[in-house]
Order: sequence, then C-alpha cells, then structure tokens
Amino acid sequence: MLLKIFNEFFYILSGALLIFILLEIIWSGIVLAYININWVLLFWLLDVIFILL
Amino acid sequence: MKFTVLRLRIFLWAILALIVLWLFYMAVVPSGKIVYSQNFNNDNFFIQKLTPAERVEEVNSGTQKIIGDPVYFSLRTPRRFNSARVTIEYKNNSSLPIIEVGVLVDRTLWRYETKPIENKIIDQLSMVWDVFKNDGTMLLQKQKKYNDIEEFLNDLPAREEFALYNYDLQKEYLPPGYKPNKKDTKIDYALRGPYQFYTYLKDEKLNFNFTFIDLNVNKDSDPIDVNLYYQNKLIATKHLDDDGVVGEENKISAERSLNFTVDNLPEGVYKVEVKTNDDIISREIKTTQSRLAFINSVRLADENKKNIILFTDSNQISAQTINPAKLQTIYVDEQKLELNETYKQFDLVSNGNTTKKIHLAKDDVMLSGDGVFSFADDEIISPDFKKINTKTSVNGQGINYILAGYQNPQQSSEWKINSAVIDLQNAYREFNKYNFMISVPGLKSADELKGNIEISRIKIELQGTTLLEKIKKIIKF
Repeated sequence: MLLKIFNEFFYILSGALLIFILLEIIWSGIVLAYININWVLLFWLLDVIFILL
Repeated sequence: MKFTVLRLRIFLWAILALIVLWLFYMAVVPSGKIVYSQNFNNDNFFIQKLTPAERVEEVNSGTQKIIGDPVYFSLRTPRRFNSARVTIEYKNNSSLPIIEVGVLVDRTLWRYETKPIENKIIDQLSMVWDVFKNDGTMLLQKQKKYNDIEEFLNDLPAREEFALYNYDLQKEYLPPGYKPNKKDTKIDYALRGPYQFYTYLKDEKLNFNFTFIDLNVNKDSDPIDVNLYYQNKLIATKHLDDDGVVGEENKISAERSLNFTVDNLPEGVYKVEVKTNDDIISREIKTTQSRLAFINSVRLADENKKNIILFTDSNQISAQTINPAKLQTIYVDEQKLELNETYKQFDLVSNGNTTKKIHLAKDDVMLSGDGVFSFADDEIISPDFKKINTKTSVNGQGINYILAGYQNPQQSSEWKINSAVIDLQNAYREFNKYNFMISVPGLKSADELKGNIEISRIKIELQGTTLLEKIKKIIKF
C-alpha cells in the first residue's frame, strides 16, 4: 500500500515539475516567485530513491 | 483498495490544478492591484537587493543602511503596471536634507524620474512659515500674502523671490529686450555624449547644424536623435544612424553633419535634446539663434583646448574628470574649485542671483549645476524657476515663497514613513523588472561624517489595468 502511495506521488511530482518548468519558460517568474522548486525536486528525488530501493 | 488509490490520485491532481490556477491568478493580477513588501529579514523575489554593495552596509536585524548616493533596486513584476506608490520607513542619520525615490525612464540617458520622500528644508520651514496645503501640494510663505495656491499662481511674485520643489510650473518666459541674431553663432568646443539646451525664438526659424564624430569605444551602435520640445511636448525630431563601423574598437569615424531646421514656430523658449551615448562627440554647433544655454550639465570632450570660459547661473557647481592629465584648478568668479583627483566629483557653492564666470585651464571636464551653462554671457537663457536642492540657502538666495509637490513624512516612534506615487507608464522595463533608485544627494560612502540613511521597510503598491479592462480593450480592436 505504501508503495502505491509513493507511486502516486511520483506521478504527481513528475507532473508538477514538468508543468512548473513549462510555465516558467512561457512566463518567466510565475512559478519561482512563489514556489521553491528545490523542495519539489528534493521530494521527487526521495520518492524515486524509495521506489528504486 | 483501488478506490482509495484513485481518490488519492484525484485529490493530488486537483491540488496541483489549484496551485497552477493560483499561480496564474497571482501573475495576471486580475484586479490590477498588488502589494509587494521588503522588510530586510530575508531575500525577496520581487523587491531585490539594494546595490551597489559599496554604497550599503550589510543587512542588520531587519534594517539596512545606505551610505552612498544613489542606490538601486529592481522590482520584478509579472506584468506591466501604470503606477506605483512607494512607501519607505526610514531613519535619516545624516545632516543631508533630501531623500528621493525614482524609477528609470530612459536607459540611453540613464535618466530617473524621482519623487520626494523627505525634504528637511521644507519640513523645518513649515514649522515657522505660513503653510497652505491642498491635495499633495504645499505653499510656504515667509510672510502670509496669499490665501491659497490658486491666488499665488494667478499673481506670482518676482522670480527671484520664490522656489519650486517637485512642482512643474508652466509659465511663459520672455527674456527682456530680445532681438534675433544678425550673424551665426558657433560653438567650437567639443562636447561628449548627450546634452540638452534651451534656446529662444522670435520671428525666426530654428536652425542648428551639428557636426558629430563617433569614437567607437564601445561595440554598441551609436545612433543620434535630436529632439525639439516646446512647453514640455515633443514637436520635432531628427535621427542620424550609427556610422556603420562594427567590431572595430576605437576607430574614430569621419565627421558627419546633421542639420536641424524647423520653420513657423511661435515665440517662446524651446528645449533641444541631443540623445545619444558617450561615444558621440559634438565637435561643432552652428546656429542662427542668439540664446543657447545647456541645462544642468555640459561635458567638454578631450580636444586639448585650453583656457575655456563658460557662464552659469548655478548656485551649486560640480566638476569631475576621468583624465589624470586634466586635473586643474577651476575658477568660478574669484572662488577656486580644486580638481585634484580623477573619478571624483568636487562641489562648490556660490550663492547669489548673478551670472558667474567659469574659467577652465583644460578641457575633458564634466561640469554640472542647478542652473544653465553657456559659452557666452549674452547667450544665457534661464526659463526655469529656482529649485530647492541640497545646497539651497533660503535666506542667502532671498526666497520668500516655496511651492512644493510634497507632503511631510509621518513620525512613528523613531522611524519616519513617507510615500511617493510614481508613474510607471513611461518607465523602462526589461526582463520583467522595473529599475528603482533611492537618492540622497550629497551622501558619499567615503565620507563617514555624512552619516547614513537606515531603511527598515520598502512597500510598493502597484496599480494597473484590470483583467476586465484588458478584455474590453482587446474586444474593441
């Protein structure tokens, strides 16, 4: 069950990263003004590590 | 089990969708109003750091000290706005009377449009003089004569008796005994970079012939625009393209001429602006006009001219050179202005309402002041009213009235707070940033005696077109 939850988080975080990067390319500053992308990346990495393990 | 995972999936994607919608809402600013604030406790994405670093001290417990003039900061915005109300909470730990905030409006001339935050001269006078306030404008009178501002504007005292501060007073100026020139006037002192001058016309055409050369020191193109203004409105312009020399540094171009002639102009004062960069030298100006007075500054280029005479009505005169071979003693009437260091501005105060004679031994000097400069005594024309600046001596200059677009700062405990409304419609914006400036004229980081300005908060309230207005505008087209 835990793995399934992490699996869902992997999809949502990957989707969020992709959307944020696209938004930032289209409209500079729209994402970075309010969201610290480093935290999103960190959670995504931890998620990937957990899944790989 | 599957149902739980599906619910989690829907929940997470709904949150992401809401976040994206919220980001768009914050970027579009549908109401047209948004507030950004910097309290110096941590980095701010919108109101960025004060620069350059050598003119500010390190941030210390939520405040930052400005020790040199001017300092800059960028305001990052997701879209354009029409106006900004800048509120600054500060402590003036210096003897300097003026603090102003402004926004960059012209990148070529590096020109900022500034508004007042503090003017101690007016603050102190408003405690002892008669004060009339109306809608952000103040009229100060040494002895009460006028009941309101309208009465003052309809019956102005003599020009020598009053001064303005942050107030644009349009009043026709007619120099006494003016007659058009019978012969040509020629200025054969080379001038470097951009400049502006006043001239006067009466039953004659405007006629200027400029001779330019291009030093090609920097790699950018160096176009030249000559603009003519009447009553602060642009009425004619002429353009000269770059000389076409690309990639060859320091290759001085051949002389090129630009003739600027305009017929059928009404009598009055005109302002001519030569808008270009520091690569351009104006080697010669020929004109049929008899009045020609450079506004606030004139930069003599390095052409090895000696014993140069200028005239000015400025009370505060500054000089600077970047060339070690041009260090010298400048004479302003009988007063000496020692120019003994490069890249440093030297100031001199010479009060009085008369024209002063400036004698320079060598050229390649930048002269600036609070008045006009000309190369002949009878060419001076000074249509501007007296302005209140850092060095103004109200008694020394015989000022009895002050008209100011200014409001006194509010005092809360030991901090003062004041706001300035700045028009952003003509402001320069690049990479989604407006460039702001905080100016404290006279504050020098090398001079510890001058003190500092401590800032605890900068708040910027922006106002612009609403989403509804924007949609209406698009539909109309």
